[in-house]
Amino acid sequence: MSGINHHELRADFMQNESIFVLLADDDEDDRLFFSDAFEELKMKTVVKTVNDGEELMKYLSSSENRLPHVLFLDINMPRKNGLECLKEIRSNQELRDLSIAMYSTSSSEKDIEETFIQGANIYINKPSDFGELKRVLTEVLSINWQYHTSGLNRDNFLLRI
Amino acid sequence: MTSKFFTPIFILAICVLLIISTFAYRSTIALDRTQEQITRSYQIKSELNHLYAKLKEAESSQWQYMLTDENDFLKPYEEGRGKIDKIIKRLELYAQSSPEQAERLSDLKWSINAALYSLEDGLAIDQEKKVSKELLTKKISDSSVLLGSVKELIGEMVKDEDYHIREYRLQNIKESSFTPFGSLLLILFALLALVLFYYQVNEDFVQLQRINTELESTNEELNSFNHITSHDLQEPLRKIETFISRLDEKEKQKLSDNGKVYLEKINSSARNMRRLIKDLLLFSQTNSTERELEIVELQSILNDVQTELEEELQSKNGEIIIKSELPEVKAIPFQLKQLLLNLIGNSIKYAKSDVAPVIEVSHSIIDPDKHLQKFLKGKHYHKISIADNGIGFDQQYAHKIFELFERLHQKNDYSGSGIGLAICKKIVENHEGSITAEGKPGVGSTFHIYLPL
Amino acid sequence: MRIYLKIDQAIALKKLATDLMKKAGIKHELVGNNELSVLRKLSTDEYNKLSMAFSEYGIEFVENQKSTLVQKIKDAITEMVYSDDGPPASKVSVHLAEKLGHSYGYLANVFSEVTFSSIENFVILQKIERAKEFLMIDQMTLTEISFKLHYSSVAHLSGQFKKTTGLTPSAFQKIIRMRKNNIERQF
Repeated sequence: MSGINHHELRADFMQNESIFVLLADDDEDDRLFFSDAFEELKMKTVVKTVNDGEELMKYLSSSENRLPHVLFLDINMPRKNGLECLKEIRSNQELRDLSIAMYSTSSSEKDIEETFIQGANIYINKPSDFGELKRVLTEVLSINWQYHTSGLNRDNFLLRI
Repeated sequence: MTSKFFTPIFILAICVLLIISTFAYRSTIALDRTQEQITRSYQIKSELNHLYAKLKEAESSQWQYMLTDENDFLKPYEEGRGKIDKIIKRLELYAQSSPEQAERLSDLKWSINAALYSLEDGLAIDQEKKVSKELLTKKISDSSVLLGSVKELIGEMVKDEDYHIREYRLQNIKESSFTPFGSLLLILFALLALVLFYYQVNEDFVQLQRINTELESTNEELNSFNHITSHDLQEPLRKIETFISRLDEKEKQKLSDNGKVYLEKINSSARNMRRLIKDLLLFSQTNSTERELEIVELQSILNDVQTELEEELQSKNGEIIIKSELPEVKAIPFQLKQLLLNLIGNSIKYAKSDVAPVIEVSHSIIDPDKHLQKFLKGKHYHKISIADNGIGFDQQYAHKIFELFERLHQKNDYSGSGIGLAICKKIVENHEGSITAEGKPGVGSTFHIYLPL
Repeated sequence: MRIYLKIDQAIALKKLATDLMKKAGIKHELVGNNELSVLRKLSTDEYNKLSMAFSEYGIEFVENQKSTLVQKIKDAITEMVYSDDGPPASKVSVHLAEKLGHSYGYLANVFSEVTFSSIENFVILQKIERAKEFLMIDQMTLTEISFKLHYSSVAHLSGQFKKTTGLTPSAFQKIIRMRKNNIERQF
């Protein structure tokens, strides 16, 4: 349960701090959309992109690399798809607390349910409007930040947009 | 051989088998009969010969007595007499079947009696001891004559029987030659029929297997086609829409008025196509191949649907009234949710522009016989009705609206791909139920869902 | 002899912070030239100790007033939502203004400036969080939960739940339950 201990001080620096976002998508155009959208958000972000599942796992497993605040993961990728990456990440103790947002163009209800069951925090239905994309990303980042700073239970962090 | 000929040939084969069996059976019976007759003839012959022997015996013992005056010779005569009577009785039995023989037999009887009587007469005379040689000699010759005629009669009768025997024998040969042949024919034919049928059934079975394999691979192809459709077809469209939205945001000022209109039309077309593909995909995915029938609480599904449509409902000030609580049914949960979502979503979408939508959901259990529904099969059914106060529709289109791509309005008036109700129909049919609609333009529409108990 | 210095403050600060934080055993990140991001909550004791350590190097901790206020607002809201008293005596806005001694308008402004989100949203977020916890306890029905959290009806709770998380309460329950099964199956 979230603590109400008045002796504890938590810092909320969202307006000054950049949120580090990692984006894994094999499609060049989608990478462009997302990067542009992040750039135009109210909050400051630093975005790193990887082009497929293998690259992603390599990045995450290297101890030199900074872990992102949020990982945005495309479900449909060649070779290693999003769901496989998700399973791998969640089975890794060190990455257990990583916030993961899966996204896809079209999934059946069953598939969406499956991503949550396998441990994703967020499922995004890729919007086709750029303005809508910005709105979605803002919502995701701000709710994630709330979880991050208000000590809310991350196991219960589920969001479907 | 195609299966069109299968049944007639089968019937023909059975008929032939029956006919051959009948013939075989009849010839066997006839064979038995002639055999019996032959045996009887032999028996008659034997009895007749026996009879003659006994008569001769009687005569000779008589003469022996008369010559020797020894009483011992009388005994065989008495015994012989008794036996002769017995034999005649037996012969009478055998001769029952032949009127000629019966007649001769009665003649024979008379002759035998005459002969024996004459013999006894001679005996009586002899015992009187006053007999003259002439009388005795006359008596002896009388007896001989009588016995001679008996012998003749017997001979005739024997000849007759011999003739019958010859006849029966011939018949026998004729019949017995058919029976083994017939049986062989029967067996061969039966074997042939069996082999033919086995061959045919095997062929049919192999063909069925081949068709089955083909169907399976076609099904797999369709499934992967679905997946491709779902993703690869929608992707470019989505990107078109997204890039247009960026243009809209960033470059709109640089476009002429016409340019802006064109841009919007491109966007709108892409949007429509995407919606169409999505709905088509949903339609083709609505199968009953996933046999995940569970016990489902319709009430809680309705609640979920209500929650999902909450925003749209609020925006039009609408409300959903549950008039009677919904039951539990055995169904595929995702599909029933889609069904209710489509129907209630439609009710909200097609609300009158100036009237807040009110949607009533009710339930009852019906016995279809009472309502003369031709498409239900006589079990009991759940009837779930969803009635709204929207714009309604003309009742004459009540069947058409469930057809794929059928729309009753201009494309731009109301959003939608024209597949929603077709999906509802498919779902309901997956569950062996049915769906009907009633509408009154300007008043509202009611949809009735029937699901088996 | 004289050695001339050219000081690169950024590098110096980075090394200093790294050393001090390592000593204190706290994971950190340096943001810009004058901000330290600490990824977990610090107890008052730790904070004070750290403050002292840094001040030896002439580095003072400056309390960001606005951030502190936002934290206070959050704490007050959390307390409200998690209290088991009956329905609140006054509206959230009134309650907060009273408790924190500022006008609600001012509080709302500061809050959205710092968090890019509104107070109302945070209230809803907390309520829904508590609802989630209740949902994990199987014995509570939606009616009971909506009552406990002072919603006017189950529909109101479900609607807000769905709006906040994108899932219906039952869908949420199902996912959590299946997640547990999944984890159990792995071991």
